[in-house]
This record gives sequence, C-alpha cells and structure tokens, in this order.
Amino acid sequence: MKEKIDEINVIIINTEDAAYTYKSQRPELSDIKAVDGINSVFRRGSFTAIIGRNGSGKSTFAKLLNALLLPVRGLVYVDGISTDSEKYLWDIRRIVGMIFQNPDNQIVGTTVEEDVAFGLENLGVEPSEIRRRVDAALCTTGIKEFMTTQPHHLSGGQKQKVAIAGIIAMKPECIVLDEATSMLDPIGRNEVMAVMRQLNREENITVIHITHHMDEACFADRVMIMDEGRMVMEGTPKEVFSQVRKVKSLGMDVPQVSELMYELNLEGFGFPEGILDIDGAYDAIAKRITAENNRRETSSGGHDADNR
Amino acid sequence: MPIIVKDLVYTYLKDTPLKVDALNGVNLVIGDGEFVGIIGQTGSGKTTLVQHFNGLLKPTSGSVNVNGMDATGKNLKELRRQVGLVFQYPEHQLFEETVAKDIAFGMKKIGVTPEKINENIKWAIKTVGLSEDILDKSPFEISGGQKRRVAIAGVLVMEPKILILDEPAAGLDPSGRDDILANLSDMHRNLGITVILVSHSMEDIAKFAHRVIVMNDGSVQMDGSVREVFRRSDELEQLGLQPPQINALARKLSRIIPGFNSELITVAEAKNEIVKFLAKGGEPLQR
Repeated sequence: MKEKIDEINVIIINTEDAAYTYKSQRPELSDIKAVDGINSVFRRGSFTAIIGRNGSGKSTFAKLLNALLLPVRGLVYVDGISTDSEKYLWDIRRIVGMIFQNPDNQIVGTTVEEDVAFGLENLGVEPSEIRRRVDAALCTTGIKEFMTTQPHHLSGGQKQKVAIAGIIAMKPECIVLDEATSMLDPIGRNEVMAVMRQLNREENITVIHITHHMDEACFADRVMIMDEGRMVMEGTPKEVFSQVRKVKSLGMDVPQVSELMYELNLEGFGFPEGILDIDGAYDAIAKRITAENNRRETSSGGHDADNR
Repeated sequence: MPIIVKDLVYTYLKDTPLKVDALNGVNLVIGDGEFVGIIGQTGSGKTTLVQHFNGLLKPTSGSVNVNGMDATGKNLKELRRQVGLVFQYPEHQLFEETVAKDIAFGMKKIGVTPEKINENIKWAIKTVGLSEDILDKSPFEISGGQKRRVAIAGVLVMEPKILILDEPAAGLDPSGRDDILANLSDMHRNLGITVILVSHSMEDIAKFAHRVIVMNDGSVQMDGSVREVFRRSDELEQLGLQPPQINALARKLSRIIPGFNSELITVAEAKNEIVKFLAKGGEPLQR
C-alpha cells in the first residue's frame, strides 16, 4: 500500500487512453482524430521532449495536459485529479503552466514586471506577495534588468523568458512548452533552453518540451515521438536517436553525428551506439584512427605515415 | 541581370530619437542563377537587406539596382514581378476562400489570362510538392506545412526571375523542411532562377547554397563559398552562429590526425573521410 502511495506521489501527470477529435466544420469531411488513445506517465522533476511531424497531434496532446481541452475518450490526471473535474480547473492550470509558440501572442503587460504580475493580479494575490513573487520570477529567469522595459523592445528569446517568468510566478509544478522555441533564432533558443534546464534542475519543475529541434530533444531525460495521434517511440535520447531508420521514417531527424556513427556502423565498424554529440563522436573516432595508425606503423615498419 | 547593391545604408525611424541603423554601407553583387544563403543573428540586417531587393524599403542612402532597374522608384511594378519575396510565416497572409483563389490572386491583379492562371497554378502546386485536390480546400483547413507551401506557390506563379525566401522552413518538422528546401533546389536547377535563402540554419545553408553571405551588425561580415565561410568557424561562433556538427567534428579531428580534411560539411563527406583512415575489418588499407 505504501509503495502504491509513493508511486502516486512521484507522478505529476498521467493519461489513460486519452483521445481528442476535432469535429469537422463541413459535412463532407470526416472528423480528425488528433490524439488517438495515449497512455503516458510523467514523473515529478522529469524533463521530457515530445517530437513528431506537423499534424501528429503534439499540440493537441499538450492542451489536454492542463484542461485547455478535455479528452473525448479516456482520462488525463494532474496530480491525481482528473482534468474534467471543474471544481479543480484553476488548480490544474496553476500546477501545469503552458508556454506557446508565438511570444507576441502571450504578452499583455505594458512593462515586463506588469506582464509577469498579470496572472497573480487576476487571482487576487496580496500586492506585497505579488511583488515578492514577481521579483523572484524575474531573477530566476534572468530578466531582472528588463523589469521596467516595454516588452516589444525585447528579442524573441527574451519575450519567451517573460512568458516563462509569468508562469513561474504562479508557482507551477510542471511547465509545458508547445514549440516555444520554434520562432526563435539559435541564441534565443539557447537562452530559453538554459532557463528551462535550470528550473528543472534547481526548482525540480517538471518540463514537457514539444519541439522540432533534435538538438533540444537531446537534452531531455526522455524523448517521445508522436505520429498520427499516438505515441510511437519512447526512450532516452540515446535509445531513440540510435534507431536512425525508424526515427527518419517518422519524419524526424537525428543529430548529424548520430547519423554519421550509424552510417559507419553499417560499414561494419562497430562503434558504440547512442552517440549524440560532437565530443562523443570525436572520442570514439579519434581513438580508433589513432589505434589504426599505430597498428599500421608497427606492421609496416613505420613507413606508413610517410606515404600518406 | 544581377542585383547590384552599392553603399546601402538604411535607418529605421530616421529623424526620431528612436532611430536605428539597420544597414551601414552594404556592397554586394548577386549574379544570375546563383543560390545564395544569407545568415546572421536576429537584428543583423538580413531581412532589411532583402526587402530592398524588391523595393519594399528604399535606401536611406546608396543604391540598389536589380536587372537594370533602380529599386527606388518608377519601375516598382515590374521590379516586383521579377523579384518574388516570400516573407517569414507567409501562411499568415493567406486569406481567400480556396487555395486556388489564393494562389491566383497576384496573377489576377496583373491581368494574366484564365488559361494561363490555371496552367501556372497546376505547375506551382506540383513544384511545391502538393497534389491538385488541395486546390478547392479552404486555406484554413489545411496543415501548417501545406499552408506554407501554398503561400510559396502564390509567389512562384508570378514566375519571378529572382526568388527570395525569408526563413522558409521555420517551424516546420524536419521532413517538411527537407522537402521544401529540396523543391527549391530543384527549381533553381530546372528554371535557372536566382534563389536567395535567408536562414538561421547553417546546416540548411550548407546543404543547398553555393555562396554564403554572413551579415553582422548591418554589414557584410563574410562573403564566399560555403567552404570558405566555414573555414572561419571560430569567427562564426563569435557571431552566435553554430557551424554544422559535422564541420565542428572534422575540425576537431584534423587537429590530432595528420591529413584529416577539416572542411567537411555533410555526413556523406565525413563518412568517406573516416573510412579512408580506418581499414575495414582489420585489413590493411589499400591505397
């Protein structure tokens, strides 16, 4: 029994056969099954990346996670509460905060601090408490220097950090990023990812990151791939990205070095599986080439290197 | 009929306290039939630069000449026919009832015959990799990737001699991105048009462009072949631009392995180079 309770406590979100269908606007077209029966478990403090082609149901799935949409079949639980319990709707949305794709669509305040305070003001939180939480959120996300800046003067990455600060001020336990980096340039993406990793590590906030960027997915503890409304692959980045063929057949990419190692292994070189980054590939290849050069030097009396 | 840019300066909000110099003295020649990639950080002036090529912006000083036409004045109509510009997130500009009407809009405005309109639509929709049954759908009931292609088709039907795309693959999934860029590359080869691709992705630029222009702070910082530019990858990194993983790996390996080519860009190139250094299955290397 105790084990059972512990298990419940470590899970922040789980879905049981969750499904969502968009009703067609026109009689001659059929309804669209966007999410088609997903069983999933998200543990407290985990960092999950969800990838999948356009139209695979990722964003719909994300909206099921904080009751922006309710499943037409199956159930979604946040902290053990089913998302269709109206009584707890605002608790659910506080526990699971959401960041969307376009930074310009989610900023309402005329200054950064006002924007961050917006959600708290709506909840009627005490002004002194608002001040405290806004300051803390601005510090955590590293945008305190822009406190009195007008949001439209900020870069895309900075605007997303304002949106994240607004969520942090609400003290969420989980943040879902729905392609929140896809309109940003590489620098903006790095800024947002750095903040999310820090929140995950230091504040133990659960992160669910929907993205088209494989390099971002590599940072996660776990990668899930969606296709046609279902979860079709799941595992650590190493486990998932070493299956190059399968990942590509789902319209996704793998990091360039993973593809290189895979291609070399097809030639029978037998490199270790699951290399994701430049350093990993460098170590493996450099070691082999050095060993090979030494072997050749000894076998050909040391002339080999001169012939190259 | 090249694009000639001379001492181009552009200042946003000129004569106000908020003025920003977006371009400070750009000189460039882009020849016919080139496939040019333009990269640079946000705010480096990429978009401002390409918006001069079809007269959307007029130089604060300096000049832009496209196919013999001065891009500041009288020939705007003709200039915009010859230079097609696909904005960032062009699907936000779809508005017609059906995909076919949306694609036809520009042609109708300039009085193209209905037969020719139909012909061009069919050709363009195929070129962007869509099938004809999408033509009767509303642009608002198709997927994001399809919308992007429809928006690009709407520019293609105008038969531009110069096609400029500002981040055409942003927000698309990897296979959608590869498809659109491969289509562009085919069009460039088959039609011989000039293609200018503005992108943050060095990997995409490396795969498709022949020449790379690196913008920084309103000026051209580098201009050369893909390999020439990636050779200066330390500088690129200082500009906040990340060279492709393979290139970084090749440079790292070349530092400790004598004779290893440091200028590799694609996975296939890297594979061939590494295979050269490793004898298969322990067999001595054949040279």
